[in-house]
Amino acid sequence: MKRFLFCFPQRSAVLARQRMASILYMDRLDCPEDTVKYLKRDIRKVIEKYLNIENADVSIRMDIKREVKQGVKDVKTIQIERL
Amino acid sequence: MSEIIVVTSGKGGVGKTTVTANLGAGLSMLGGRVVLIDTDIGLRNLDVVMGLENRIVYNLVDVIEGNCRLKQALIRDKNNPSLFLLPAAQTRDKSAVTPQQMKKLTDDLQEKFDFILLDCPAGIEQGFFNAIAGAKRAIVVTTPEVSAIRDADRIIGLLEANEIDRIDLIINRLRMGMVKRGDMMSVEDVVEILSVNLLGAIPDDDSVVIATNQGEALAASESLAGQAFSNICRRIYGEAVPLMDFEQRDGFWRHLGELLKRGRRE
Repeated sequence: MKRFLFCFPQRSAVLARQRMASILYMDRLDCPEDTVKYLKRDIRKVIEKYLNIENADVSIRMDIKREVKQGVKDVKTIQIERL
Repeated sequence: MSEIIVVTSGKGGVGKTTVTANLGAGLSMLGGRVVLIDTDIGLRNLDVVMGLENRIVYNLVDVIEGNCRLKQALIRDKNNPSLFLLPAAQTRDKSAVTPQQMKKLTDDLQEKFDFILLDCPAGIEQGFFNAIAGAKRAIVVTTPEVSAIRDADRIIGLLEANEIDRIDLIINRLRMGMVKRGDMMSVEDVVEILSVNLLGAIPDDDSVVIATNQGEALAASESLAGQAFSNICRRIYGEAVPLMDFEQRDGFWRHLGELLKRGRRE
């Protein structure tokens, strides 16, 4: 199977999208890529502790919102969406 | 009340100046009174793109320092009588003006014009803050490339932090052939990554280079890019214009078609 996949390398636009996600997390959170990976892993563990979910059904996606509420400045908020 | 719009990107070379010039031309062709301000002090180019480089007497810094009246520095476009340019100074640098001075300038211009477009320099230093000082709205220009999108994302963050809430996106130099082959990110990819409203997309088009060489605007011309600019201007006016279908035959047949068109024109 791996040999078969080697004949069809990933298109560069797909790679670019994946890289963009990492790059922007690192820029917005000001942290290395591994930290993002561990964040997601630990968030998943917490969710699994309280909810009955299968690994395959849920992926963790983090979007950094820059909304500023009244009386609060320079807040970075992480919203967790279930896909 | 006029719309004060800054055209910015973060990354250099993605097409801010070309977009500014063509939006200005398009908006004036649709009936608006438009002034374009080149805030890229020291590296001005809006005059060249518009073909007005030989008509500069006074510039932005002259106005702010009081060396001339505002009206003396404004240059009327060759083809659009309701389009004006306030050029940047070429022999000064971006510390020659302050954001407060830029804010006052845009306040003074508001009474006379329907649209004030500020061509922002690349980067996030003094020039950027000068350009956004008076703006109420921003158009972020990017290309579908990793480095440009990254810088656009940073710029969007800075715009929001500086209370410019209305931010629209223009994706420039789109190459549909590459998108279809999977070698370029699509419009949908870029919009999803940046999460801002899409104002329009402009295809990579030789006519843009030709128009710049000639010092002419492309808006409302027959080319795909010209039509795209025209549609963007109509959206700025509030019209709901669907995105163009840029899919066209690539390669030999496209080039043959263009050769035939050029032959007919000559």
